[in-house]
Amino acid sequence: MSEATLQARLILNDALHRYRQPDGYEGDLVEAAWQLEEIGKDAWPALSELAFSCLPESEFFLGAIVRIEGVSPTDRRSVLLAAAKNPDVNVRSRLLELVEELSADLKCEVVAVLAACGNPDDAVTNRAQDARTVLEAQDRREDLP
Amino acid sequence: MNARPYLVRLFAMAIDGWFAEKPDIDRLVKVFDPKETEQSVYEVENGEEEWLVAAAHVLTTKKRPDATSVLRLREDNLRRFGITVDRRQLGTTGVSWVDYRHRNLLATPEQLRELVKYMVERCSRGQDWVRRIEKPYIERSLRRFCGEPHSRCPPHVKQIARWALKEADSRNLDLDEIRQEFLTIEFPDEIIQPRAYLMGRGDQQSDWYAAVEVLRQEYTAHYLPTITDRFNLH
Repeated sequence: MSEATLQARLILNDALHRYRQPDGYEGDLVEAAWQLEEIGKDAWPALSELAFSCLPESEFFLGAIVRIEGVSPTDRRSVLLAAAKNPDVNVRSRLLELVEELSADLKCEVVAVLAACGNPDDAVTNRAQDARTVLEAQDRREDLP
Repeated sequence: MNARPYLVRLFAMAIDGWFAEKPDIDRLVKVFDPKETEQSVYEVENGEEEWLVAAAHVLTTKKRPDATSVLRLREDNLRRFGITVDRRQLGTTGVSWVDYRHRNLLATPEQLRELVKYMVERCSRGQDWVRRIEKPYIERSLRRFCGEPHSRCPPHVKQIARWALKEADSRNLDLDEIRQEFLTIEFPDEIIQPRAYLMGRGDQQSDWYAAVEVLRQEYTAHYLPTITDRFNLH
């Protein structure tokens, strides 16, 4: 494991610890997410573990998960699809915001998971279902001769 | 929202949790930093100014723009919980009108918690005390600053904005140039007027220009140390 990967894990764990204190502040997670994005692909293992853990705090790290360069599309896909199943409404809401920054294929997949029937019946699932309808209509238009 | 000025607290968290049937107050209160006795806010008059102050705030962070949430606060809501507003500390965005709209809330962690509980309760009934501003609108507002005259948005601030927008490779800031830029900075009339009145020399025009000069000195003295520290300029 590289030194940068270790450093990313330390930054993340430290920020999560501070945030979870009774006097925690979201700024700790925002700052950590920025530092992980600056570290780049060496921070991916820490980000990936966070997304698979389904913790609500992953909301703040989705931007880095979407934007870090040098990550294989397969790895990013699996992490984002895991995030899309996060029960926390803010996590799914943030992910729905970020789908605009994804490739067309991945965008459709993520929106489909966010819109799935088994998801919590909340505003994000409703918005995702609307987004899926729009994407499907676009697909149909593109298929026309 | 009506045209009466109100305060906005900017934060990163998505706003869906504010409308939940069973809101998690412990989580939502983390939009404030309870370790601080002062909570930074800006005074605005409408949604357009919300976009602009949210974009200007990016200039203080050394980060790229991203979606931002806004908690709208009226002073009567703050008074209900004994929270006071301190108007003395200027902001550090480099956009003069935004920095002169900076305020600090003076509140204890308990007061902040009670405030959030109160606001959440109203949000859950449909009141619009929180708003999400998506990234493209923050970017659009940063571009608006880039299009302003240098006297309203100095060149180095535009350079920082262009870097944030990935339209410039580096920020290339020079302290002497920044000092020069501040010699011609302008302020909205609403900021100059009360200062000019206090000059009380009897000549309205010279009072006005004297007030502008005092404001420039005050703003420069406040801003230069901050920007020097933020970007390690020497």
